[in-house]
Amino acid sequence: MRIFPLGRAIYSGVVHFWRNIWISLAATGVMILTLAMMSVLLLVTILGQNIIKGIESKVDITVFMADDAQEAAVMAVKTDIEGFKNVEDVTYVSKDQALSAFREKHKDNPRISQALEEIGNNPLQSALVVRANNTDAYDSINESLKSPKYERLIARVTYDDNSEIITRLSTVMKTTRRVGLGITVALGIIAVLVTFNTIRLAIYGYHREIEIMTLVGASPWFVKGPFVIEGILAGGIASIVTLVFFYPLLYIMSPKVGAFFVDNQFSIYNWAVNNLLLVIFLICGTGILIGAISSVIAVQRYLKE
Amino acid sequence: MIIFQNVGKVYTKNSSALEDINLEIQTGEFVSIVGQSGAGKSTLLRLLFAEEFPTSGSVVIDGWDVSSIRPWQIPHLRRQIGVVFQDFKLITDKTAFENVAFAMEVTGEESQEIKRTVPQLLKLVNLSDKANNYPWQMSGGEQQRVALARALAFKPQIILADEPTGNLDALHAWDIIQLLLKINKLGTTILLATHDEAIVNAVKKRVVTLDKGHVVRDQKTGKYAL
Repeated sequence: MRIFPLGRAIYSGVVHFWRNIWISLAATGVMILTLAMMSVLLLVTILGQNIIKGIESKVDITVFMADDAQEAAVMAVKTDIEGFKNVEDVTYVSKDQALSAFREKHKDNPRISQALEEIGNNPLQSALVVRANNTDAYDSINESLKSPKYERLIARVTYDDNSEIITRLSTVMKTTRRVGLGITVALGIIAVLVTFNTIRLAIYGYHREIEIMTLVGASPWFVKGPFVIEGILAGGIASIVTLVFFYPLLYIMSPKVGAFFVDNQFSIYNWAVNNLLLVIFLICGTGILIGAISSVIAVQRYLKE
Repeated sequence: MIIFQNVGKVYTKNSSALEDINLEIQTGEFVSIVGQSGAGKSTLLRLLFAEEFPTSGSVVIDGWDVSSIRPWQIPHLRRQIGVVFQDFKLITDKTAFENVAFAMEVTGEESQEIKRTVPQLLKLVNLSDKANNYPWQMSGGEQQRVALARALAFKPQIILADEPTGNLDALHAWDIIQLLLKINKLGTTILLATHDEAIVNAVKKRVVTLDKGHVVRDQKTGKYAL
């Protein structure tokens, strides 16, 4: 028993691809569109996640400490909060730091400076700025801060002022993530179906040939082999073309995309460069896999046995 | 050796293609199967290469019991039988050489052997100069000769020819029959399904006559008679 002759399948596949170059190019073209769309979906997803992350990092709650709270006690509270669930970081702002920040912010307003001079001492409170790793967590952090243990140390927590906006933001984030994922999956499925049908139509043209091959004693895999190679070839070429356009286009687009989010440092081009191997793997893998699987399924239809 | 034992083939309740067929064909025989269209000639041949299966009885060809063959065995069976069809059934985007070579490739034959054998087969059917032509660049008679060369690629013990001259003019038809007779002389069993009276009468070999799915006549050296 001889093993399946791979060399022959590759040779026939390449020859068949070349002899039917227009059909091959059409299938490759549709694959390029599919891969391009999937790349865009990937980038939009990554970008979306980073925008959400950016917005989330701007949300925080400030815990104002009581006037008479000693620095040591404040630091103890800080350590406590750092131990809470979902807390990303806690920053201590001393009375002096608060005052200089306040002065800096209002340096163009002489009346405020004057008022501060008249008061004489520092009227501002020291504070702990708490950032959570997701917007849902603020509610529970706020609850924990209501513990009697902190009653005398904590003057005020800004959560109550911001709770509505934080809750709303949290809902928007969740919906955005869910809808984004849904759209990505739906578009991905459509792209795959279009490619699959194009390959099926291309192979439909050969159903008579497939029948003849089986009549002269070709085993099912002997018939499928060259078509699978053709599918891989179309997918491979489409992947390379997509990648060749992907990076230059991204390089041009990246600053423009960034312009929408002025204070977002995230650059999608840098992301793609840093994740070069992942991008190549995803695009080539998808292209080759869709090509091969579509071919197998399409040929299978015309193999009676 | 081919044995049909009480073979029946029913397509729908009211139409049976073959009924109670009993035939025995010895190795090396040349048998013409004659009958009008719809008499069951093609069905009889299609049972032999497992394109169809009997609804009753058993069909044995070269030791293979086609009535109980497993799907994965079918390619192996087909590599031992050469089949020639009325519509040639050549692969359109392969040249004459490649069409013949394909039949050898499916058996896993070495490339060297293929390169050596295919020109010989094309020479046998008188097509050495058309090796690189595609089917559409050849006449019907030439295409059928390519198909015959392909059928011979397996070095088969049996060749089934289903109306091989149906699409050819008299001259080209006779060419094909001459080739079949030549192959038969070398020891290959030939089953020729045809309704061409002139050919059957000229061949002067065994004739099995089918009518409405029954064997109505089986003569050692018969003539075409309905």
